[in-house]
Amino acid sequence: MDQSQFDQLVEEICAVQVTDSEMPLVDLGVDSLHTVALVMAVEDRFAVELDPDVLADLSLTSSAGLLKLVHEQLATGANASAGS
Amino acid sequence: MPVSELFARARAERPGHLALVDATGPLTYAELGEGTDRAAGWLRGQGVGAGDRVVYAGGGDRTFLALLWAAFRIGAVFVPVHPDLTDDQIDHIVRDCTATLAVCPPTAGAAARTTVEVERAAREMARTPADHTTAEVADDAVALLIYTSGTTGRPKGVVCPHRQILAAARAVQAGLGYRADDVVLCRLPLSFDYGLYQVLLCTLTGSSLVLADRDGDVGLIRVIERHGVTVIPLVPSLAQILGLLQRKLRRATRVRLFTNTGARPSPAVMRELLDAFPGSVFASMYGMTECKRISILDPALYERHPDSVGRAIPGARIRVIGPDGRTLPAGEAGEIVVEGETVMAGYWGVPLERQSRYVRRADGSLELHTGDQGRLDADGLLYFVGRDDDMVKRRGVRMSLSEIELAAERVPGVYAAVAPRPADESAPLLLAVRTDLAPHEVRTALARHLDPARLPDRIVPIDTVPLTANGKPDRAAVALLLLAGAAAAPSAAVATAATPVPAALTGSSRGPVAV
Repeated sequence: MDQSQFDQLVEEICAVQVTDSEMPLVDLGVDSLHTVALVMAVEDRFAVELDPDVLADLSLTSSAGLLKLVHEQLATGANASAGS
Repeated sequence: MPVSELFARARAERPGHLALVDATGPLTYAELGEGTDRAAGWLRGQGVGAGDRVVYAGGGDRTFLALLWAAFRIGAVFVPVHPDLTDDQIDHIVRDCTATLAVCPPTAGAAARTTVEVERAAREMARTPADHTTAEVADDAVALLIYTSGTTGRPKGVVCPHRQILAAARAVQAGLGYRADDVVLCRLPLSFDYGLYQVLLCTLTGSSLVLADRDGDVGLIRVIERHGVTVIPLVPSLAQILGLLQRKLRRATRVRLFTNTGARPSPAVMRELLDAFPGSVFASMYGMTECKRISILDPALYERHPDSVGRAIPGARIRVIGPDGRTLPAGEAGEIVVEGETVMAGYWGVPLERQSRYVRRADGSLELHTGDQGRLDADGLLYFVGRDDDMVKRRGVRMSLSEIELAAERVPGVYAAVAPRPADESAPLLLAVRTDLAPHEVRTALARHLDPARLPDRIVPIDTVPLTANGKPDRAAVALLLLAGAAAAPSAAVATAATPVPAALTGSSRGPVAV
């Protein structure tokens, strides 16, 4: 999944427009409920578990930052068997 | 007895017990006590004395608590403000209360005698020697000013004397029964009185407070597990977040009690939450900053009376009055009026004759006219019907917007409903709903709960409910959202198109995909 597809996922889950992949989600107008919903949807889709500590600054995290986290998580292979 | 005595007791009786967990880590009552002694020294070093106002715009953490307890102990007046307020909003509060000290950004606090930034205050406190000063504080001395928005004008400071604060904390405790081994998760801002009273209740019972902020929402279940959280005060959005997380994670927890005040999670959300946390119960409450708490519903009654906000707390007397000011019999809806020990001492700096909410009674005490509409049943259970500024007239029929929202939230599959105030009597009545039903299904179901006069003209699905800083649904923001939606799609499509609902909000799963 590339960045523009991922931005689409963010848009679908959070009901916002991702005008800039690097912009913090909170500045795109994503509220706390939708932030949680987004993380859970991403975990489902990619069959990964994202570390809540790493996500603690999620309000500062952008769509690009979140996708990077997902890729890092997949690369570690910790979830390789469950994922792709 | 001054409020600071609560902390002195907890500190003396349970020094080694966990008082607090914040982002920095855990703190015992003894350790928080040391922090409080240093904060007292620091405040006095800034020239703060009895009766002086201290505005604090920091987040909820050990610095907040140390300053709160220190201010109470030296007889100063603590004025907590939300860290997200703009400089202009803080400036209004600093000026309105003529603050001696403002701990906030320098530009926001310029009108105070002294202004110190939050981080600097924390650093300086850590270096200040302990100061054990305990001032003689009268029961009717002011302990807190809590600024709250009224229907008109800028926010006003509710004057909270030591006597009333203690009475409120004890009455709420009588209703909720926090235990010494409870661990309370507070994810509400401490500038919000519902958050602030978690501090008082925990200290009163010697229990532990875990402070969380919104950035940690994704990890909330882990926090609940790790700290053995037993009690969680809710706002509607938090109820939904916890339900969402727990539906996936399904962790065994020790959570035994959820509480709520103000805008309530819909019955559907609440049912899901109670199911997701087996063994937990729900206490629905009602109150307003002007008298803190008014009523608490015994959790045992929630099943049978889900719409009630419970009975008057000990020391409070509730009556319902008509437009002519006369007390109405049970069953009739009117304005909720409260008198008793928890009614606060009015608004800061506003002459009583200009305070329409507070009315002096014959015995000299104040009675609070809440501006809220409600009814009492024959058993003394209170039902909240709506706010006064909620009341609208349509085609000659008086109705409350909350009444329509609550009816919609009784429809299974509707997670939240917000009815913005129509511009005038002939403007269409819109109802925004977060739901996985189609608008016409909501309408059909709603027609079973509401008479035709109260049925909204249009049902508009929304994906997100804008909230105020305190986590309550923001009607004005919803109105703007609907306006923007109407501009983008001027056809009737707005009224009928169902917006796709995110999988995570409906519980469906699409399964993993390859990348």
